Amino acid sequence: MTIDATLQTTATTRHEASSTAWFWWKETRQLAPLVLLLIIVALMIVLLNIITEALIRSAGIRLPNEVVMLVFPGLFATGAGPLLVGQERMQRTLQWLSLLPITAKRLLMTKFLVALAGLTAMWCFAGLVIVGFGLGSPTESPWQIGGRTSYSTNPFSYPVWIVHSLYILLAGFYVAWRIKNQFYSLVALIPLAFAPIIMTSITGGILDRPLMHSELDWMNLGFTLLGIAVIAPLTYWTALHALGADAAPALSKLGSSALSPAQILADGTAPKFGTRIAPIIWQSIHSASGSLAILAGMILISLFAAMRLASIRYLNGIDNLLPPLLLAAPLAICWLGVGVFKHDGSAERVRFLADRGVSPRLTYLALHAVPLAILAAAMILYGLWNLAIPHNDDHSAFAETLPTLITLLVFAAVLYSVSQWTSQFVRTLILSVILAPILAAIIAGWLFFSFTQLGFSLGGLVICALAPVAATFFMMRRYMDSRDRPLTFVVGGLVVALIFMLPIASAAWRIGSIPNMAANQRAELLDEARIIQRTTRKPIGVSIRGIEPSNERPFDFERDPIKDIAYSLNGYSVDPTEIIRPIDADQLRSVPPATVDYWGLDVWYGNFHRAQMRWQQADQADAFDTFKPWLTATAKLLVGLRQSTQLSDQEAADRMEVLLIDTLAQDQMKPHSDDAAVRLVNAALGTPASRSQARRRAVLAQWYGKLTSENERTNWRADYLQHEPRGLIAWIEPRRYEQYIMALLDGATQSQHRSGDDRWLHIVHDFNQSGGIFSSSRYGQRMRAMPAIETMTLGQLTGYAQLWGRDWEFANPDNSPTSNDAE
Amino acid sequence: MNATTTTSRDRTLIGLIALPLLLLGILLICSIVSWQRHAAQIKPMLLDSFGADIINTACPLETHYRSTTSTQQTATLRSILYAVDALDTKYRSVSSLIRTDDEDPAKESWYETRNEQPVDQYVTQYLDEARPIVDALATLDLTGPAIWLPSDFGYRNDWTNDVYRIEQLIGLLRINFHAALKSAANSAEPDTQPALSALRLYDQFVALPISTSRVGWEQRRLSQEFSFLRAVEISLQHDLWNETDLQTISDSVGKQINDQSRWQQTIESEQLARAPWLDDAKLEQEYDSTTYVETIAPSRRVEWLTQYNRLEQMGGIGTPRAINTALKIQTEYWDERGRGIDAALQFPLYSNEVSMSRMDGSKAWLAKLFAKVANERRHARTAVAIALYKSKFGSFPDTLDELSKVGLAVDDRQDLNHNTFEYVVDDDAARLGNAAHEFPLQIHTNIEIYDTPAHTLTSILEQYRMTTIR
Repeated sequence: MTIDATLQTTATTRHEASSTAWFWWKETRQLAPLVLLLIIVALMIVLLNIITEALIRSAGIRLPNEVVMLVFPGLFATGAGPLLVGQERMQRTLQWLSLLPITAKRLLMTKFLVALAGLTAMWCFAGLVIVGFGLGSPTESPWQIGGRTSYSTNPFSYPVWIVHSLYILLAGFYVAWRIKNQFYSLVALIPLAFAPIIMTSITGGILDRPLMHSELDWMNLGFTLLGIAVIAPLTYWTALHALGADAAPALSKLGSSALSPAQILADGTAPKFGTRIAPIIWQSIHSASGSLAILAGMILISLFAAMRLASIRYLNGIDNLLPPLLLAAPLAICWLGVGVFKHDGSAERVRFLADRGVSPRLTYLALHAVPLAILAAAMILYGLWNLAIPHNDDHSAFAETLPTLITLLVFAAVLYSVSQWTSQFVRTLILSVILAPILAAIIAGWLFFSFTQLGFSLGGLVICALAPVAATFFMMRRYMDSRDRPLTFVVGGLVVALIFMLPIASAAWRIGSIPNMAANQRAELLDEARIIQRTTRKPIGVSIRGIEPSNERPFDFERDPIKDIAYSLNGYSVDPTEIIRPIDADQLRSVPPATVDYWGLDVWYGNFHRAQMRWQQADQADAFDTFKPWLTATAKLLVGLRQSTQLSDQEAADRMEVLLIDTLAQDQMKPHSDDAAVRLVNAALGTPASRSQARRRAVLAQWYGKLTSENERTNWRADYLQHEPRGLIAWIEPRRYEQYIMALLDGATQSQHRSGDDRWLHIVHDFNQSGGIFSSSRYGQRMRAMPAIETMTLGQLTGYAQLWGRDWEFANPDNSPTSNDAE
Repeated sequence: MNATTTTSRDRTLIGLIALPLLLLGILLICSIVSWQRHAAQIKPMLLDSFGADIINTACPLETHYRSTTSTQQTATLRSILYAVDALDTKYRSVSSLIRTDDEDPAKESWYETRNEQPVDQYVTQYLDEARPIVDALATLDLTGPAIWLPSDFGYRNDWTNDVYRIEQLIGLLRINFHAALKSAANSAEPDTQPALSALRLYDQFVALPISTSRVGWEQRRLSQEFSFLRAVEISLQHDLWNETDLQTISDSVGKQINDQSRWQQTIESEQLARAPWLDDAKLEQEYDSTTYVETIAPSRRVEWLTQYNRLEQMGGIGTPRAINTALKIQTEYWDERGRGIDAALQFPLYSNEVSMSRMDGSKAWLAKLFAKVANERRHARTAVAIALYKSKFGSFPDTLDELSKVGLAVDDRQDLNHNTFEYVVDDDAARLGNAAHEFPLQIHTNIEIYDTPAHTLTSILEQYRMTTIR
């Protein structure tokens, strides 16, 4: 708030001589942007959470944890003191205020009470969001101190959160009254804010025993209350001191050699520069040397913490404090970005340069030069350090999780880019300092989500990362001339739209590029599928693994394993006639639709061969009779399976048919070509056309079944979906499935004749064996050219349609009887 | 603000600011150059090792497998394998009592500990039903090339490996041998021929020609061979075999097996299996049901390939030296000794390729398995030689040195540390101590396990186990 605005407010407020209503109003207006921005950001987080969770999960949405909302009052408390006091001290409006007829006590109390009201408003807001969206855990009692459970995601009970935010508010005022530089006061506030938690950790360490969660809660409360008891009077005295008359300059200072730039200039010892850019850089360094040193220090602290973590296998004692220190670097990167437009006197400096005709481009480059150099130096250190250490958990689990230089560069670019944009967009330093890390984290989180979950490209990521930089560059001339509003809001809107819409547009394009059925084709196929569904009888289950003992024996620890064996063996039957009894019929045409457990096909195949071996090795003339039941049963099963509209049954039928055709082609079968069993087998064998029709029916029925299934939850583990961005599965899955169904229908048609068109095979392969190599798979030409009996899967399924349209379909067994009518 | 000529202060200030940016740029450019340079080395290295006919195909492993196998007996072998599977499905309740111990493949729980239980009748029933399968084995020609078996090569979820059903077949033949042996031992006038035939059959299928292109098969084959050697040793405690039988058994366990060649082929198979990955740098990882792709720096891929070339070329397979060499080579890879600057451009982590090397399994462990079997082979040869000596000369030899009379080489009387096996003669039996009976066989992802004193080879060899020969 400028002096003019304050004067106007003072003039227009109706009040008694002693009334300070105008002052209350001024303070409230000063604090309002912080409250509003934090509320907007909090709601944005809720909205983004809803969007991202809705993208990932096809059913239901998940809201952010209540802790996210509980943090916001604390953030407000962090900014309130520096905003109400620090900013006024910086702009020297506080000196003007202190000249007004308001006592120092009333002045500081008014500021504090306004901040307290703001904090109450923030708590009301957080409470409303938590209750309104039901963010808290219904099974916990968050208001009870020490009532937290070990599995709670919320580290403190609500009273502790509230008391702690009050403590931060007081600490914020303390540092703001104590330290004139806003940025320094904020940096000083960080350790002060965490002091109660640090004290709790130290106490835990001293006690040398694992502490219960309830104990920790109580301890935190105790240390926070202690903090309030200490900081409240300190704040009061510091404020009174700050509002008093300034001390006269010390004599020793007069003789000091530490000269300010102005003094240097006055003394005629100012450095001489020959370029336009160098003095701006020089000024950037000298006007914020302390801040830059602190930020560089924060980055180094993180780097040292990372180095230590990468050299130890387990965290013990003091090392437990290392992981939180890692957060110092991203925070410093954000603040480096904020510093571009909002360091001490930045705004004034920029206007000063504009007045002297320095080009916006040059100014822009010069303002970014120092932060970028610090950032680059940090990246070089990180890159070189990582060349020197091993990255496996044999040495350190932390080292195994270190991102590469390029990954970190992209991440840092997003943080820096968003932060410098925030600092140009937002007028107040304190607001920028608080908002920039939050906005940068949100956008970095969104871009990370887009990249990992929406399949957003690296190129797109770079565009989004650089968009805020382009925006600040574009606005630089107007910013220098203080003419950036309201255009800056338009540009800001465009940047936000680009960052949020580009990943969505790219995802939409990706989804749209998957071919799906035309509307009329879909309608026609659905009609056909409905008819199939209506006219098909439900298949009868056949236990091809063998008939198990009918009754489960009760479990008994003492039971005799030998008796178990006897029970199990005596009850188990692999008699083929017995197995197919549920579908058995005198005539093939009377066999009803059958369904089998595809995974048991290997057992049927094995038992079939066991019977065949017994027959072929036997000396008796009538040994063939022992094998005939297997031929008959397999033939009947084949006929039943072909009528089934389950695709897995069609696969089983294909294998039964391959087995029978291969058996009939064997020399030992020739003498039996006129046997009734062989004639039955020949009658059961299908033709390419009949098989094609059965497959088409099954494909359509399967598709229809999926469409009308009550359980619409996507099959996440399906192979083809594992290679799609997880956030898009809900949209991709129906299209990919339709594409797959179309390919299967195409395959069913093409299997009627020998076809060289393998496009459908590629689609089916990609669907079933996503990421596999086509040519060496069972869909590839090489395996398809081999006899099916040598290559077909049994008991396992690596994809449908592997046997369709292969040579066996067009084989003519040598033993084909004179008449196909075996019945 | 007027610009005049550039001063040294200008240059210093601009230089100080530009330097980190310039250095970072140089670092990134060097990484790109290193990426390109290493990437160009991979294909020539593969071509040098395997030739263009294999490497320039979509799936080199499949091409190699096809070139070393024949489909002539595929259908027959498959019908046998599935027949065994079906039979085992029926007898799965028996299998818990007759299976071998997973921890120690040599431990035949049914044979060694439950021989008095009525489980025998079910084993007999099982073997009666298995008879046609065993007889059908005679139709296979095992002297030809390895038999081709299908699978979806190049597909990461390929679980349609019929090759692993061979273990079920070998399991059947082991039970078949033990049953024949037991029958002869319990007979008043023992006929050793059925047991000897069963042993021959068992031996044949343990050595079944399966192309080593099947990654992981060699480990299983070694376990089966170990189990076979133990079965031979167990058979000696019955004093059943006559001199001719023992000579046959001696020939069986005494035949030369080229471990070095099998080791090399196994290592080559893994290189071929990874060839597509080595070429395109993309590694599929699974996390939370989602597959995602990581990139691996070419320098790491070159290093992986170099590691495997070194593993392939190392000598002394079947000795402790090979275990140590394999361990050293793999440790160096894990420690990223040869990592290039291009790792900075990997995505997303520096460490992602570590999981790659873990996926391949420890080659030190494979080398240990080779050593374990080599040791057991020597032990079995010595045990058979003792029995042959007794059969020939009517008494046990006083010392193992006397076994040279039955043609046993000096090396075969010693364990891997060149210590002569422990040998004791009682009144009616000789006991041969196999010092290297138990190697810890769990796969340890943590390489430190090999450094633990309790797991060093020496400490393992000091473990003591007796084989009794009557």
